[in-house]
Amino acid sequence: MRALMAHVQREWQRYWGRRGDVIQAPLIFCLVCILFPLGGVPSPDHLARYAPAVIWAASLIACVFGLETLYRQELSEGWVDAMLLAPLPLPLVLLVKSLMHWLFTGLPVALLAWPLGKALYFPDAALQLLILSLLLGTPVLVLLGGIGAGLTAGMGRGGLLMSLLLIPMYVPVLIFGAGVGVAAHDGLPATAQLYLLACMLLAAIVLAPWASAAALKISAESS
Amino acid sequence: MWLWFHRLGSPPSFYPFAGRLAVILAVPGVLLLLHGLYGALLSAPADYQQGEGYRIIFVHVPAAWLSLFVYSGMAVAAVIALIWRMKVAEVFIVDAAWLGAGFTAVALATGMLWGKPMWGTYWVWDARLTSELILLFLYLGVLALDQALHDERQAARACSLLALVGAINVPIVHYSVEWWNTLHQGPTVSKFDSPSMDSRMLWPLLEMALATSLLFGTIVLVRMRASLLWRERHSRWVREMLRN
Repeated sequence: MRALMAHVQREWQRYWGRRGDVIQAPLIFCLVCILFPLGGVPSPDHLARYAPAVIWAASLIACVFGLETLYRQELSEGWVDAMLLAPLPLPLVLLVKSLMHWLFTGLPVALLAWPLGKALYFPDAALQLLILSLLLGTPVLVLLGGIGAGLTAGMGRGGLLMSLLLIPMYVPVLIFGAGVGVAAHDGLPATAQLYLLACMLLAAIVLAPWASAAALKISAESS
Repeated sequence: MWLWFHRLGSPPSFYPFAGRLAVILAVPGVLLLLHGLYGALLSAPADYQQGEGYRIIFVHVPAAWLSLFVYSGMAVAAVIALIWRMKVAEVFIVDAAWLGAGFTAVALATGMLWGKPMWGTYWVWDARLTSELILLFLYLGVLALDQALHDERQAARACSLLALVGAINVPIVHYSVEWWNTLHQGPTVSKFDSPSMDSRMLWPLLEMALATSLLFGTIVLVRMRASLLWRERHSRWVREMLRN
């Protein structure tokens, strides 16, 4: 337990110290959201209709960008080898790390969705549900992303490859997450989508850290 | 049984075995392919609605089946490769991924060619089409990961893990896409009524599917032999075999 608390504290300090780097992902999210009105028709009808898709696609892209910082430095510093010797099981270590990563990259995205949704003329009541879907969905993105980040951590330029590996896997989260917004916009109940997202989150919390640990061990083998 | 399984997992005994098995699979594969093609292109009657254009399914359906079948095979091999670290299974994953990506691309291309005259458009955002497209990207991801890692064993283990995670993901993607489609546009696209298919069309289709599977086996075994030779090029059995 004390080891776990120490680990949580250490991860907090680490991310707080790197907050300048980490904040880039939410900024990318804003920029991608801004591109759509500029590239399309900026009429309220069009924007509101496509707002869930835009916000979710942008948060997917921002998440993949953010994952660059998840393991790369850790692997080169020998942190992974240290954690393999630590008293805590590696999946638990990675779960804590992923949640801390989400706190600094996913949570800001969900909060920024409020002003950006407003700017896209998305109705208020529906926007609340859309933000709820982001709060449920973005941790899934980070947890699943840990697998891709672990596999590509040892490469010099793994970022492009990581997005190629991860984006197909993110499709279900996008469908249900944006589905919440679409249903809410049309005045339909969105509980089914929200429950499915919650279900994915639980499954990801239980399963994804094991796969990430396996991936990270494979990457640590040769480097 | 266990002993046989373990012995087969070692490259020196797998190599000649794969060579023999490739021939055993190739002979009925080619015969079935020729007979199936004759049945498909000549003896089966034209469809009363689609005319001659429907004949593309004799290529399309086997390719689509194989694209899913190969991915499941890769997942099984991935489990074997991760648990027992068997080299033969590791080689299978990457070699099968090349062929699986090919089948997926063929299924998509033939489907699009069929869709243009039948549906009036090359592409519809139908659940099946979309999940097949995502499957293609999953295959390409495995291949890209294999290319990016220079250490062969590390690449194989990384690909195994990715194939396994992808295999869990494929049904989730499939059902979520299906659900998304039905929510948005409803069943606009008519599908085949397979039970009402005439037996003169069904038999060539099954023959073609079996032939494609057998020939997949042949090609993957030949590829695996080549990959094993390259990987084990510094080992003694390869040198001794080449000397003789």
